[in-house]
Amino acid sequence: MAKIIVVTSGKGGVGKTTTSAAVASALAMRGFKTAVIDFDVGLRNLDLIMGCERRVVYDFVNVIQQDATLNQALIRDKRLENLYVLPASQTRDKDALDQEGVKRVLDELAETFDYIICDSPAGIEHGAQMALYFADEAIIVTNPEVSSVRDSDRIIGILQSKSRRAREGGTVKEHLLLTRYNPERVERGEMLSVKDVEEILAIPLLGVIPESEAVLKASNQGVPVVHDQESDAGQAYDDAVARYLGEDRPHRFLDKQKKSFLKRVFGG
Amino acid sequence: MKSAAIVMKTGLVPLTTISLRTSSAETLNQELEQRRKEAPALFAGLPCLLDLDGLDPQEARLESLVGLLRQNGLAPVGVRNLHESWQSQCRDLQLADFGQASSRDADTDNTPPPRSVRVYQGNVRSGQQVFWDGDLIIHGMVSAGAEVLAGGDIQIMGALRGRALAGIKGDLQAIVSCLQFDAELVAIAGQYQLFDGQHECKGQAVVIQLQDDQLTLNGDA
Ligand SMILES: Nc1ncnc2c1ncn2[C@@H]1O[C@H](COP(=O)(O)OP(=O)(O)O)[C@@H](O)[C@H]1O
Ligand SMILES: [Mg+2]
Repeated sequence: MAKIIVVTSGKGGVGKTTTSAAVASALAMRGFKTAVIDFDVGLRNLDLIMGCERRVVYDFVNVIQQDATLNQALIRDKRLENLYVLPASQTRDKDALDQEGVKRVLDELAETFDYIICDSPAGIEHGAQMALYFADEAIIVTNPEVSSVRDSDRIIGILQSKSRRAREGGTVKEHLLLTRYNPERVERGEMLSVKDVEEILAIPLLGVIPESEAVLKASNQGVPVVHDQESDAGQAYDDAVARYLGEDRPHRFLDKQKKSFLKRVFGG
Repeated sequence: MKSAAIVMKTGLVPLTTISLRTSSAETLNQELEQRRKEAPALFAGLPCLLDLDGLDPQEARLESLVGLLRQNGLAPVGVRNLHESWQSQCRDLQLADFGQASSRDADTDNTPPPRSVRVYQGNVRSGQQVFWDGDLIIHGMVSAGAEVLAGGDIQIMGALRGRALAGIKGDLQAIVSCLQFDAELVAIAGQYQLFDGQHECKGQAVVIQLQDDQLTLNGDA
């Protein structure tokens, strides 16, 4: 049985798409057959982050409206043979997704895939609710700032009241992923600390992804950052997925990097 | 040997208390007759407890008081607040002595009717609202941007970072309590107070009540 994981946040620009691409890639690297779906109809960019934008022919809405089959729309990743992308439509309006249609696509994917990652659009309206409705688990992407944490809290409330599992009396398993974490700014009191966010949201911490130039570089190149195992963000995503799969890995990148002696003398 | 002839059970049987405020046979009889006419079905064979608090044994015989009740169809089964000098008469009349109890308690029951309690399992998240007519227990936290409302008390078994409004139908006795205080707003019976996140009780367990139209946290305004 496939596991459906929604990557959601409420707020936009916090790193959902970056996370969806990294998590899906890391799962595929470990041998799991994984599909990643862009639910951000009208603003698609998962295909850009995954580097497959030139190969988009059909999209999620085409499949839902039965203008194309699922196999016609799925794009196989260039690097990982276990990984497939279902891109969003660039032209349709946000309400093009309906619950019945989404269910049909997910059911068909579930027959052959191990993991289905749903990259949610921002907000708490229709699109975001479609992305989370069928989820078994949720990765709540949060930045260490008050407005992002507040929006995450709202989306957790929606998961707990409006998802299919909640409606059937169950729960959606939640994982907190704190991204764009900048220990220096936390130390200066400009950002919330890991502990603050954990306390406010009261859900288990899956990982902390540092603010990193490697992310921008990766998205410009269309290569999910987890492929860059030299980078802090790449390693942090890999840790998070390992933890998700049950490995015990200590949290890293939580403290300010100590400058080396040379850097302190000559500046850096 | 198992006894089947006698079965004993303890239970609460409703018993009407009749307090006599005078020992004048004439006055009592008049009033009893009048009441009996008003509600004959109620009086017929009504088991009752005779409260003798304040009556002077010098002025009347217990036997005649009990007789008055019986004549009017009542069935006294016992007495309460019996004066010492009436004790032997009481035994002769084969009435049970229910001892000394404040008749005021029996007459005016001040305990409010029990309120229904709702236990909400889990956290109340930003944008959510939980409402209950009676007392509300939140088995979790109330996030910033969340709101809990109750006709009675609100008890939060966790942090209160959002809004809590108790006694929303005007109950001045309602309380709000939480284990970790950092509320945005607390209201009791419409008296509300906003908090800016800098309160000295922040992070502490607090009980909030209304005293002279002022909200108090753990007793301090
Ligand atoms: N860990 C990070 N460090 C630096 N920049 C990041 C990080 N995560 C995301 N970003 C940047 O933030 C922006 C929004 O990221 P994206 O994944 O598209 O967010 P969302 O899908 O939530 O809108 C992008 O420009 C992305 O490069
Ligand atoms: Mg996105």
